[in-house]
Amino acid sequence: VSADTTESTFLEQARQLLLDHRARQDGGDPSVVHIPDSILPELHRAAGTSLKSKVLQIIPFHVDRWNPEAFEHLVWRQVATMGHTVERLYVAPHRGVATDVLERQLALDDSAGVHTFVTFVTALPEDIQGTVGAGLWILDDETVVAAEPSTDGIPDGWTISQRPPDINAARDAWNVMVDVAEDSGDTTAATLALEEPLVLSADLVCGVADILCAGDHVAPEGCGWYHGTWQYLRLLDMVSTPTWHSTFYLENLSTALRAKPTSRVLITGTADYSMFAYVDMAATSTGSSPEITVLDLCTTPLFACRWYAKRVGRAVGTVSEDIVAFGESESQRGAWEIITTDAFMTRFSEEECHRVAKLWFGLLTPGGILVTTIRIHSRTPGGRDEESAARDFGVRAHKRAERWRPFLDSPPEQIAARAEVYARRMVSADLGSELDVLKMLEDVGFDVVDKQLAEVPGELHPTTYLEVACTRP
Amino acid sequence: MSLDHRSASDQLAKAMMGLASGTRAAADGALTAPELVATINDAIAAVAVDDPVLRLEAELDPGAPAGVALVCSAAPDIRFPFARSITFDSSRDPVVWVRDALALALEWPAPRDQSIPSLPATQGVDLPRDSQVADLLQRDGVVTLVGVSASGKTYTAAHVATNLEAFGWTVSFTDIGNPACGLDLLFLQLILTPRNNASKHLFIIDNVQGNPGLARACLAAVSRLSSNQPDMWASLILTWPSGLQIVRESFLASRVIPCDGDEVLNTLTKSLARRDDDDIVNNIRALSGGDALIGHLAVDYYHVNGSLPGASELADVAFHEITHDEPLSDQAIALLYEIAVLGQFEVDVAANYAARNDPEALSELVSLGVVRNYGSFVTIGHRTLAALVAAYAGSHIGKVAGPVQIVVNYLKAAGEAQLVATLERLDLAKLSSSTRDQHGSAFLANAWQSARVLTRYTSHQTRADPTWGNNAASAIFAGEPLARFDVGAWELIAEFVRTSWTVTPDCLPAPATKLTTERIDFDEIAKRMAEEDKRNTAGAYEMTADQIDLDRTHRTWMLGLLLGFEANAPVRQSARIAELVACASSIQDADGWFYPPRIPWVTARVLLGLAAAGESVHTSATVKAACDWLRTPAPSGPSQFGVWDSGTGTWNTTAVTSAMCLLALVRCGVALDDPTVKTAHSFLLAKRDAWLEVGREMDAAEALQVLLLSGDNWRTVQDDLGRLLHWARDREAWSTALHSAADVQDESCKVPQIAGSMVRLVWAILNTDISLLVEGVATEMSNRLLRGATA
Repeated sequence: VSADTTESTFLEQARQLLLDHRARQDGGDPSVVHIPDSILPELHRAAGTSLKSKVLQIIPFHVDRWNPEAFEHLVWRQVATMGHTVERLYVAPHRGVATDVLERQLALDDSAGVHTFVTFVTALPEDIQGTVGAGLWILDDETVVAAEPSTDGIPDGWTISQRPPDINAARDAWNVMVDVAEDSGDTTAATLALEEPLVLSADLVCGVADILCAGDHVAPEGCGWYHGTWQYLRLLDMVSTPTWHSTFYLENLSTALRAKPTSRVLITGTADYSMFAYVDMAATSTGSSPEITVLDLCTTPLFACRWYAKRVGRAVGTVSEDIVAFGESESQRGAWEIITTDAFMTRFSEEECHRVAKLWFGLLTPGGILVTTIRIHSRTPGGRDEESAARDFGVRAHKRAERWRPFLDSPPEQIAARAEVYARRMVSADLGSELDVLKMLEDVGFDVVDKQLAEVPGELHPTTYLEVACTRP
Repeated sequence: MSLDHRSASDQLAKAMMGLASGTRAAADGALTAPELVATINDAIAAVAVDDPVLRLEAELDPGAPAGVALVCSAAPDIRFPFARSITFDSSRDPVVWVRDALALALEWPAPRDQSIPSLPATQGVDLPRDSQVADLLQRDGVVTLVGVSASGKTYTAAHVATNLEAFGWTVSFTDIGNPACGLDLLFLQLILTPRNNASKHLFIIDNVQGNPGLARACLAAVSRLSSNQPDMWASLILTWPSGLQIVRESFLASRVIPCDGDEVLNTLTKSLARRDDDDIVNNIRALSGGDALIGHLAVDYYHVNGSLPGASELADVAFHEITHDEPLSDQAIALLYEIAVLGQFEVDVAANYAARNDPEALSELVSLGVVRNYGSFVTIGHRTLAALVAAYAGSHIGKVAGPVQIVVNYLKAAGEAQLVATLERLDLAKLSSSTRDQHGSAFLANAWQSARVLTRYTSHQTRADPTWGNNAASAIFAGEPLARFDVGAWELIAEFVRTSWTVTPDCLPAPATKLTTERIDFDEIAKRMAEEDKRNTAGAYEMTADQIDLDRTHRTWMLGLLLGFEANAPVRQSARIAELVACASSIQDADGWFYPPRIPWVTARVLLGLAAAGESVHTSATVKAACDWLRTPAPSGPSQFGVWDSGTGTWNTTAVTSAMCLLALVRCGVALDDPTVKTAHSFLLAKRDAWLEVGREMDAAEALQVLLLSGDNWRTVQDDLGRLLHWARDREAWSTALHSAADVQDESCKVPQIAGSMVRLVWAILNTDISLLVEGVATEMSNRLLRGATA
């Protein structure tokens, strides 16, 4: 076979592939049309021209490639000015990202009579997050235009369908999303979510962990696998953080700060800046000025706290030291009005835990308060074996990380691998029932002033925590 | 009120035994089948109620030569056989035969004892709705009580029954969710229960949602009785909201009374409210969370102690209520914990399972009345009561297995039927509506509910037209979920399929009389092939469209479908399966393909049928040859690096054809590390965007099946599965279910095929990950009981 013939045959085959592809695109369900993303502007033009009365649009807000004056926005503003109803729902990754650009968009829309809503990826029910993909329009309640699923958020093509099931599904998705969305008028008044900077700090902390992590209580041999992964897992809402006990922390910390606005606050052990952020928020909401110190053996979480403190403009002291050495230091005894830490006790054995409780007691000034949570293992209704639960953890992390792909340096595969390592290595000590834990605190001398059990999503299984606040008499 | 049916059936059994002995002595030898029929009928006449409407009789079973069937007749048109037909064996001792026959007919699967559950809350005050329900029953003859678990439905039913019995009514209670329950039980109760012909009989039918198939049959029969003789019958139907649609199918005009636990609580707390103790009333409401049983226990506790109970006190009260303050051995408490844990998941426990480690502990619990023993099952009672008892017992026996593990262990040991029954009874509504799904249990709950909806649609369509518009392929695809979840509907399909297609071992199956309409698909396929031939400039198929024998193609494809259908039958007909397997061997080409080689999905379809029948590459030369051919690289074979073109133009995509071929290979036992299997799997992943396109639901269903079968974690396709289930659940998708291929320009069996695939997928996922779903349900329960736990 000569080279010319080979080339000719392959060209023919390539042409055949294209013809078959086109035939299949055209020859499927007559109620459905597929078009490539490259003719999206024409699609906007055609849809705007043929619209009879109303369009609903779900639009992902891509920070890095957003132009409020882009053709597709201008078209729909013009449609609105022609008297048609145009409702747009923007889905942003999180609050605070490019707020100036989004606000400009909303202002322009508003001036043209476009009714807008804003929501955030994390606020959406999980099944909807996957459904909306890269965009969805409903034209006159009779045609759906949907971006075809893609892994990177940029659609390969668009599907136009008039099949009733597709219209019903789109309408359901719209209704659910509008339910959780905020009318655009409310966005500026909304406060920043505590998790907001995670998307900015997760990669940073991960990189720093490779350098700074040298070991702590969780992993004396080196804690990079833990601290480097932690913020990704928080972003994906897969690990126990103060967020799972938000009301409890804010109420108790605020009450204590109101009683003494200049309290000395000690955070004993933290995986990142989350606990510090809660103290900061309680201080802001009560108008108090506490002196906040974070204590941890590893410098990575201390670095994270300093990063966050700078971002919010609050001073923070950091101490890289073991809690035992710190707690036994004469200079620290009775020096603190508030001690707080999240899910810290189960990092220690039952015996060590008793010692830590005594140290806390000694660190507090009389009348001082300890605010913390403890996992109650005996109430965990887990039924899956640890191996499959750990594997599931990795798969879930991968699935959730896909939605953050455009915003993180670490790809989902890497985050999933880290997550699985975390799930296999992280150990949480069983400290007995809630009654056992309360008894231990009371044996040390604490008066329990607030306690309740809280069911939280859990890491590998749904989990029960004891939320407890107790004072040194 | 309690209707103990067992004494009645015992009475019948004794009478028949005596009669059989007498007959044997008289005949001095074996009885013929007609003689036994007469013998049994004499015995029935001696003990059964002489009823103008309902009659029980034995008759020769035409379906089983030398078989006798016990049949219930209800004027004018209800006739059904009891549990199963009995084959008369003239070589056996007639006395033993009669005894065995009775055991089969009356005691199978277990002796039954149906009575209204004894709930603490059934003693006490009347609810406002009780008298309303009684009035409506007297006036309209049918009322439906709708409410979630522990909303007071049974409470009201018990009161109404007691009140109406005082007026001379007779009452029967049937718990559809009871694993020993059957339609025969209901009617046997009626036949053997003395009734005053001048008064009405009230059917109380509980837990309609607990077994939709049985509920449909039961309600339909009762509805027909009622419409024929409205003065004689009344029905009080109890269901969760999810079962209301089933009720409406038979009782469209039934008055629906919503039940709310708060109404019970309001009534129970009236005496407290009169003391202006609003806080207490509100706290009891908060504590109970709408659960009437918890509310009742809390009110009782308050009356005795003057304070509200926490969760541990509630558990303590519940434990002592069911043990009647009798001391229990440690072994009995440990067993009670296990039974209670299962009870809170609405799982009735097989007695032999409960007795597996310590029979004496079970005897202790039964003899003290702590657990009820009905037939071969034991139970504590209401699930709320069970949850509280589990909480108490669990805290008194040291280290115990977790509740989820106990349930999962039991379900694995009990088998598929119990798993279905348990899933039917679990209250998944709250879990499935959860917007936060950390571990995936809410998704599983939703998926299961979707699968049930699809099965209901399929059942509904089948009952409306078992022929699916004379489309044997649609009927066969519809049959797959029905074989597991609605055997009655499956049998309707089987009747159609088996009479419309004849099977012989040495040639292709053939339409019995007229062609079934899926044949039209092949005319459309021929057009698409012809279009493809025109476009095909790069290299033509050996066999062009006009050379294909469409009838032969159709019949070969049907061979695969018929094999799958018979292999999945609830009761297999081995002879018919053997004929179909033999047929496959006889028609296979020497190269391994099934006609035509241009269309590899026909070979894949036959392979799927053979795999369902239990054949594999390790056991069958036919299967091995076909799998080898499918894997043969082009140009000698159809595989191009694990990719198979359809050969049917735009009728099927390359993705769906490849998915089907891969599915066939994997199901037939070709190893997952086989190079062709591996590249096919990779191709499907690479084409994911294509098979997920709107309008390609069939492709997606096939691809998802094969990905999961190849070991992919379901979470990786969770969103895709969710979208597909959402599409299939939409009623609009079913609007074309009976259209022909010529009308819809798509496969005529698309909707039932996708529905069947979806149900199979969900079922497979649940079978492997049932622990996750139970974990989610356990968490919901734990949330409910946590209130006040540390108070």
